[in-house]
Amino acid sequence: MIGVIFGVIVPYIAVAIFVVGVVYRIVNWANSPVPLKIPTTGGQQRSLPFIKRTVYDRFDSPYTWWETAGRMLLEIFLFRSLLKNTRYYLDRVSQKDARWLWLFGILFHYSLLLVLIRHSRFFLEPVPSFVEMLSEIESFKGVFIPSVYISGLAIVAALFLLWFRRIFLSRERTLSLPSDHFALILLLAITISGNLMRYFFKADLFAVKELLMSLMSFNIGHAVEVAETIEPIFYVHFALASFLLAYFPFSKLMHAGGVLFSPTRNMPNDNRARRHVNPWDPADVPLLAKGITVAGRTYKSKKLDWETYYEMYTDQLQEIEEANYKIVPEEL
Amino acid sequence: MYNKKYVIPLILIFLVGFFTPYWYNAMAGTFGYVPELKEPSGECVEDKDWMAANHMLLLQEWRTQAIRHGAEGGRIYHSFTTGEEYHASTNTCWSCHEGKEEFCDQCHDYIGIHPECWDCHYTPNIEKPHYSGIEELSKYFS
Repeated sequence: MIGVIFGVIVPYIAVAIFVVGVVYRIVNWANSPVPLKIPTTGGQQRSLPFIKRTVYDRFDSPYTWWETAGRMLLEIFLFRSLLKNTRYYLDRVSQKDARWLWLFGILFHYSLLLVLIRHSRFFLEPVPSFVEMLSEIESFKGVFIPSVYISGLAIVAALFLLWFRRIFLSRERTLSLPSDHFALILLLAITISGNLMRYFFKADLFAVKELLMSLMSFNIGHAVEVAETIEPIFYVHFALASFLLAYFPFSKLMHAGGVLFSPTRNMPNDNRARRHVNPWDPADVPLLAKGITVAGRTYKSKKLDWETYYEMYTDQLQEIEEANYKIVPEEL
Repeated sequence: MYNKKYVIPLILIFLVGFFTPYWYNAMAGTFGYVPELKEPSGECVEDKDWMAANHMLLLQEWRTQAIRHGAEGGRIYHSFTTGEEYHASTNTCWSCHEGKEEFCDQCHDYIGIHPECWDCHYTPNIEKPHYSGIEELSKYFS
């Protein structure tokens, strides 16, 4: 029974929630307008030709598409914004560097990458040779029997360190929400149960792959048959991983997709060269101002008339009126 | 939707990446593939399902017993399924399982692991070098 619930029903639901949820979140973010150009910068912006910019300025205050893309890639692969947040992490009094989040974060994320690559052996047939080679390299094959995967231990260590950071550092403890702790505890439970299954309470991996292959080919009859024979420790790991998949799109873990939609990261710092039009400016509103002509181009300001404005923000304006405030249009 | 030219490829990359097993297995022609194992003759020293998950621990224990307590009867293994006594050696395994490639490698290749046991230890698939006399040596020392 437990095999059918956690081996067949729960993973199908979890994967469906994950895929639909992630696409929903991405589309939702893509539908959100960015009213202002708000890149955060840490370098000399492009200016007059005699003001020199170093290569660091190019990445910290990007101007072109390529510089912005470079900054995004460095952000995704090296988490530079965590390393550069010295105002928060450098204690001016004690001169202590507390950028633990960057260190533990990069340890965790790269371990997770290796762990996910290693887990692809349960989904791919034949197993790609680079997956096998990577596993053998990281376990120093032949040193320990059974092979001890470094990433599997490092990910547990990194999660504990990230959690201790939230528990023992006073500022981080103050701003930690239950969801922050929950995500770390859930990931810890998954990684610890995985390590326990690998080193102490063995499960039949052949049956595990058989189950996953039948699940993927919707051979549900066979999947139910196999699911009943697998050891319970596997279902601890598998069910928790399914919960993580289902929890992922609606939690802070969605920063995996969110980093690509961060306006402070993904916008070039070209405020002075290109005009950023607020996308929620209504298109069919008569232009009140004639506009400013600069270098042959006319930039027009779309100002709203009172009726359109009141219609757009009816709910909020009525709420303000209910609180005994008087709402009148501005006299121009 | 804003920035369609970036968002739509992003969604496609996510979907293609997440469903890698589908197109990978379909391209390899192994969709839903499960290898068939030939049942070996005879009874295993322990329960079959237990062995499927724990045989590596059993072999490890046999190795430790043979090395540290071999002279004191460490090579006698009492099965806790059947209660019978077995000689704790891989040769006991090979008396039923006829070959490594037909049995061991089926599952090991399926889940992509290559235990280093058989780099040194004997398997029935090994062709032993055959010495056919002094003439054979002459081709190395001519």
